[in-house]
Amino acid sequence: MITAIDFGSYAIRSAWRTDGVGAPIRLCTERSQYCVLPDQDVFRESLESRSIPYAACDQTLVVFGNRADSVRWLSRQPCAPLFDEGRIPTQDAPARQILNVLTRAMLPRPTSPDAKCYYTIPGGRSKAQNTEFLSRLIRMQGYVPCSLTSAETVMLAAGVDTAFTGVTVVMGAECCEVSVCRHGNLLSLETVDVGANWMDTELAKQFRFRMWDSEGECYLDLDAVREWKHSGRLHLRSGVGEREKLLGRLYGTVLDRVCRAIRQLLSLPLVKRSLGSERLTILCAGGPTQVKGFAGMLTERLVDHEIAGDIVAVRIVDNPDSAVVRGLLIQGELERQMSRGTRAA
Amino acid sequence: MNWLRCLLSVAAMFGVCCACNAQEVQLLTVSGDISAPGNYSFPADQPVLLMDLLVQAGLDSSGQAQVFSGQPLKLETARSLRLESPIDDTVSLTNNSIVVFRRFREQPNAVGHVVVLTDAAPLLLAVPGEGVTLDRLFASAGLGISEACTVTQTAWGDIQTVKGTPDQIVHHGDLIDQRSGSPAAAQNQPFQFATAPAATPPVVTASAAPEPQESFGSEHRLRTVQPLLRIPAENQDSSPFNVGRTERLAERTPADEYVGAGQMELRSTAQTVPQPVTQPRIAEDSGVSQKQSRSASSPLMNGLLVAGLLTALALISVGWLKTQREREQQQQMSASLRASLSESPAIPQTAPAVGNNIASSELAPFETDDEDVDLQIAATVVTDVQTSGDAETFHAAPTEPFDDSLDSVFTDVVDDDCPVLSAGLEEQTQDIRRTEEVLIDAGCDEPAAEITAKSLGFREIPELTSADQTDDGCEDTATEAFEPYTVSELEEMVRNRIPMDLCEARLPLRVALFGTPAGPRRLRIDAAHTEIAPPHMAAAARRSTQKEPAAAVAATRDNARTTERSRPATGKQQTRMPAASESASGTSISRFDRALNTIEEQADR
Repeated sequence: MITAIDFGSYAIRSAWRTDGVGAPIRLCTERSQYCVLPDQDVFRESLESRSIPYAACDQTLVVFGNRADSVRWLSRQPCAPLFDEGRIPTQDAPARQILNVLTRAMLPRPTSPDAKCYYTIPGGRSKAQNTEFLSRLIRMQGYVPCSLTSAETVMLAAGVDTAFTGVTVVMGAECCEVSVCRHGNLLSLETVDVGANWMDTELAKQFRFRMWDSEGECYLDLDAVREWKHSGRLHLRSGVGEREKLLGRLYGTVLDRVCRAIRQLLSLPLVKRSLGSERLTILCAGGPTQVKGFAGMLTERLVDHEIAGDIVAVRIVDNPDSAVVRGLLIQGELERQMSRGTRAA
Repeated sequence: MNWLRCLLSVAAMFGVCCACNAQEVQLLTVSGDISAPGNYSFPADQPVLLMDLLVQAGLDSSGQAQVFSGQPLKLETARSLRLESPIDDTVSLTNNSIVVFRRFREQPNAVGHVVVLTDAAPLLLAVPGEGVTLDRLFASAGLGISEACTVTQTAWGDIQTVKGTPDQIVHHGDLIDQRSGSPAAAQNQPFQFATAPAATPPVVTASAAPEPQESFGSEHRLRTVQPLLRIPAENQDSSPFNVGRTERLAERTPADEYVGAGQMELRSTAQTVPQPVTQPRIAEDSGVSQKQSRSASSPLMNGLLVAGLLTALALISVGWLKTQREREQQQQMSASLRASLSESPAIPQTAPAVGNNIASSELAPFETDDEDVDLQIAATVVTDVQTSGDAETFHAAPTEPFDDSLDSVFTDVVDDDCPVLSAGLEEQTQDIRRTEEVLIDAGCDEPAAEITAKSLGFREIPELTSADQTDDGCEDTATEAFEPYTVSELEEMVRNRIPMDLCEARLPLRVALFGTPAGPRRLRIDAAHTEIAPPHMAAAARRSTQKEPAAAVAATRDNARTTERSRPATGKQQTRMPAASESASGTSISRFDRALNTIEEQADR
């Protein structure tokens, strides 16, 4: 059995596949967030009567995962992220424990003592603290953790048409990962510490997407921004309203940094030596890339940064949400076949 | 002859499309704890608000409205509606939306209903209050549970979607998705998130006026609860749902209706034949509605519509005519294939995905003549492979031995309901089958997608001759082509051909955690900054303005002294005094600074 888990700032996705020809991939997705309710009998009975899983903390009830959205209206507060700014929360002990509960629930039981679990980390490899914590969580479930970067896995999942060679851009909630690969091997990697949450926050601040709880505390309503953003009605390059125009500008800012990173990566001696003058395809994955007009806007920025001549196409991968976890499974299958080949030899 | 068939098929499809576009309506479905659940159709260009639809359906209590749409079914929005307070009526509905209304106070109903989403219009089926298993519900409705079936449970505060297994219990208000594009159907297809809009259901029939006295057991598909379960008669008569609904419908008067709903109308799909949408009842009150009514009653548009339909029918009828030569060819080919099939007792169990985009289930319901049965049997040998979309699971469907009993099978699957569509598809399918046979003859092992693309290009396909059809080598080559072969699992994964099953994590119902959750980050709104003291330049500027000629300064000082003596000091002058002292102190400070600066410079030297 191959097992993979993608710890994302927006959602945690796990996937596994049993041995056997034609066996399907099981995909499990849980939002990486929790909702806090006051510890009152009314709420407790309501949650229990509807079989909603919850956790009891100090004078509070916590609903986490996908169900947090459905009970959010009870607390009139937005959900809190499990990965605050893409990091393991050091000041939030319940959040760390919730991560453990989710990991245990989303991973199947290992079939062998040396079973591997391939995983990605929010924020990339640059955040060593995340790596250490999450690898421990996986080890506690009986797996041997193997970490990969999101950009690498996207190339494995969607780069078959380009011989697994090209540039990958994975836009996440908290950061963007840019990498250059050649035949599936990672040549260079860059992490840009800006993601969709920054854009949502700026939009919410500018247009006052706010909500107030019962005590009068004010919060930014990022869910409303996300809902509007993914309604499918807006287009990044042909925005009419002020809100759409601002979103286009914010995307432009992020893509500027992404293009700057691409230019730096392409100018590295190792990359130049490996790829020569080959024109590359850019594969884009992640939730923010699903907005209409993303590919066109990225192309515009590539022209602005004078690297469009090195690029042959910009492509949004199929199923950009699940591409990372699928790439992890492919990596697992690759290693399994290699180990079989080694044994046979 | 093929090009003529192709032309006729295209023209027929064009005619049908024209006919469909001329009657565009948007179909909305209401279900749950409401008086008149059912399907409601509105003109396509008319925005429909949630509140309008609910009032039209007999909203009479507070509750929560959940709006579902898309394929797979997705909760778009949920809105709490309290009748005692002003209702925020801003939720607009899109085509094919399903609204489930749940009362805040749940009341046990003897009879409930569920919505079954099919590829056609949604159906409302009656279920008992305690729920019923899916297989029993479908058995009583004469439906079959497809693999694509999913059940969305809409209990208040607990919305979840589960796979529709036969022993799954469905309750009042649940949504059963039987459409072919739902997630469970994608088990044999690569995983796709549903971003495309849902398929438009067929145009529903518009009745002239709502039928308030509609009987509970009628067979209307829209705005009707079908009593497909055998519910005792006493329950039917005394059920609160039925009684309340009929009473309310009977008591409803135009004055009771919601004002915004006046432009809408309630229609039923009693018949399956599309009829033009009737005009709104108070269309005269609205300019937009008047335009719609004018365009609907335009003789030019109606003439075009009728002409298009007549042309389509004529072309279809012409397309069915076959030449004598073709009939002879088919007879010869069928005889040869029957002979060849009788020699091969076993049918291979696996086969490569030839004709990728053509599922075997799609090939079945084509209209057949007696002469074509043998041809279709032969074609089934070639194309009876499970090839759905891009998910090429190479498991062939088990086939039965070919004998004369298959004639009856093919006769049974004739699609009498849509001869128009089957006419065009039958022509197309025959060409595809022939192409596949030609490719197999040639020993071609091209990818399935290319074969399909070629098969759809009708002009490139060489027409089969009788010599080709009677060639004995055809059978041998076809049998060899279907030999099972294994494809690397890695290759399948890399090409995204392995289906993905969505499953839910089994979270523990209750856990205890230590510590206090940090919770969401609060928005900090800082107070405005206090006023910052002006820079020194301001003082210098003020000082420079006071640099006036000495005589003038002396004169003004003298004048000031005289005015102070002659008049009492006013408030304005009093306020000027500190400014003068301020400027004096500023001058002294600047002089002090200058002195310090000079000393520092000297020290540096």
